[in-house]
Parts: sequence; C-alpha cells; structure tokens
Amino acid sequence: MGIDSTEFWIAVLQIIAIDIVLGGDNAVVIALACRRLPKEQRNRVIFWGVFGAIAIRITLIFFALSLLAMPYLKIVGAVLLLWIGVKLLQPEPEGQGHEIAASTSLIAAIKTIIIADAVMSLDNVIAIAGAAKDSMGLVVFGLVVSVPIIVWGSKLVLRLMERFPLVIIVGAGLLGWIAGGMTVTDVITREWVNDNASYLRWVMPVCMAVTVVSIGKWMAARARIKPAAMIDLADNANK
Amino acid sequence: MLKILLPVDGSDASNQAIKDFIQLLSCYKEMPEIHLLNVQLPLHGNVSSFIDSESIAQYHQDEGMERLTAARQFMDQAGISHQFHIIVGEPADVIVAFAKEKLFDRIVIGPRGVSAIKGLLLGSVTNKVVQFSTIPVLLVK
Repeated sequence: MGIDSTEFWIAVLQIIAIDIVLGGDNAVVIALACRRLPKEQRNRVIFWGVFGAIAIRITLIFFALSLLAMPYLKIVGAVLLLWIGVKLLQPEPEGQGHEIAASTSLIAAIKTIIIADAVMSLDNVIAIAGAAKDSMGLVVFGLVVSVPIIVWGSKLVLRLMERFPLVIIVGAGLLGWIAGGMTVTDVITREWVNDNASYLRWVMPVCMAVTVVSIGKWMAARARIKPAAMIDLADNANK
Repeated sequence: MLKILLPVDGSDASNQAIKDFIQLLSCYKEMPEIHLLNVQLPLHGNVSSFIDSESIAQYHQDEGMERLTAARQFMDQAGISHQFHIIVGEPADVIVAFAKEKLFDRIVIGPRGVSAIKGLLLGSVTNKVVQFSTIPVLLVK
C-alpha cells in the first residue's frame, strides 16, 4: 500500500476517525475520574493517566500486529470490534445504571483510570491494527494521532459530538466496516475469499457497518429516556 | 399566569434570543413565569462503565450551569425572576416532553447558529421542537 494509492488515504482517514471516537472516550473517562480530587492532585493524576493510556497503546500494538497474523484471531478481533461499535452508540444508563463507587480518593481515581486505560487501549489498538491492514507505518501513524486526542481531546471531542451527533454513528459504522474487512483477511479466510468470493471483500464491511449501526441504534432506542424519568439536575440549586 | 419555557444551550445565538425575548417581555400585560432549561447530551460509549453515575450527574450539572450563566445574567440584569432546569437527554425530545409534562403555555426558542445547509443536513433542535411540540412555539429571530 503506497502513499499514492487511494486505499492508503482511506486507511489514514479511518484511523483518524477511530482515534477521535475511541481516544476521545478515554480522555473523557480520565477527566471525569479526577473531577473530585483537589486541583494539584488532579493535574498530576491526569498526566499519569494520559501517559498510561499512551504507553499501554504502544505496548499492545506490537503484540496486536503479530497476534493478528495468527489464524482465527482477526475473526475474534472483528467480533470484539462489533461489540465496541454497538457499545459506542449506547447513551449513559438512567439513574440506577451501574453501581460504581465514586472515586473521591486518589487511589480510587488511579484505579479507575488504569482499568479504563487498559480496556480502552485494547479497543483502540484492535481497531487501528484492523484499519492499517498490516502496514507498520500506518499503525505508528495511528498511535501518533491518538496522543494529542487523549491529551487535549476530552473537551474537543464532547463539543464535536454535541455539534455533530452524526460523528458517533459514523464512528460506530466505521468500526463495523473494519470488522467486516478483518473477517475476510484472516489467515484462514483470505485465500478462499480471494479465489471464490472476492465480492465478499466489500460486502462484508458494508454488512457489518449496517449491522453495528442498526443493532446499536435499536438498543439505544429501547433504553431511551422516558419523559417520566426526566431528572432535573438543577433542582437543589433552584431554591 | 403564562408559563414560558426557554431552552438555552449557551451559544451566542441562544443568548441573543434570550436578550431579544427580554425586550419583548414588556408586551405582556402580566409578567409570565419564566423557566430556563439546559439539555445536556448524554455521554456515549464506555464512559458510564468506568465512572459512577453520581460523578456523571455532577459533571452534567456543572456543564449545564455554565451554559445557563449568560442567560441567567441577562435575566438578573433585567430584574426578571426565573427558575432554571438541567436535564440529560436528546435536546429536542426533552424540551418537548418537559414542556408538556410541566404544563407550559409556550416554548420560546431561537434558531441555532448553523448555516442553512448544515441546518438542512443535521436538522436543528429548533426544527424538531417546532415540528413535534404540541405547545405553541415562539421562534425568536
């Protein structure tokens, strides 16, 4: 894949979009985990949180590339990406939601960030590796792009999604698209697809993208906020 | 007393609409009851699996207060008493549902500051409110 090919530039755009959507998510979690800490502590924890997110990505990507060359693992990766895409479309649960202890202490905030960094880096790395189609240059590019997004991204990404709600749907669809591509380029499927059904190379991405968006949207619609459940967050401040 | 809902997003266009509406207020014979409403988009994806719901609510509240600041200042300067609300959800849905549930008589909203083409593609909040509200909507331009 050379610099002059369209394929290359499409991959570049895909990687940037993935980094914005998944890296931004990571940045938001780091920022929110530290909100209740005293200001000095907060900045230090954010710094180490961001540092950790980037370090884990760099470590994972080297494993990812060699792992994805093994049979079946691209298919496993594709299934993971489908799940990540669907999850991306889910809004935060109402009230009862998850019971997670509020991180008011330094240790709790650090713990939250480490776990979030590990999980979300894995998401991001699988997606980058899938989009990069075995090109080492593109993988490194994906990592480099994700750094500023994680460092400065949280506000930016939130504003972007507020202004253009479509971003998140496009992001989820893109993850499905990449997953579709991975299913037909796995070591065990690649040759068969090339010989017998080369049309699958674009049919699968399209189908998977549509699948992710429709399942994600359907699940989100079911969890939609009911008018009766509207909670006025300014209730106490009003009186 | 007329009960009026003013959705506010903190943008320049929205703040301008509030200012314009304050000018219009003198036309009312009796001072209407005014409620400001800021709707916060829910955070998507992974955030809620790592952060407790209380912290997220706190975040939305802080953000919402920030978005309401300018509008509240205009109201205070003009000496108009008002209440304010912050709710998480899809803006247009929440505005319409809230107005209906709390028995508002009117929604007063400004067009958002997007160009005609973007507005066409994205379908602004204002358009949706006008389309789906069962309560009269006053569009301040």
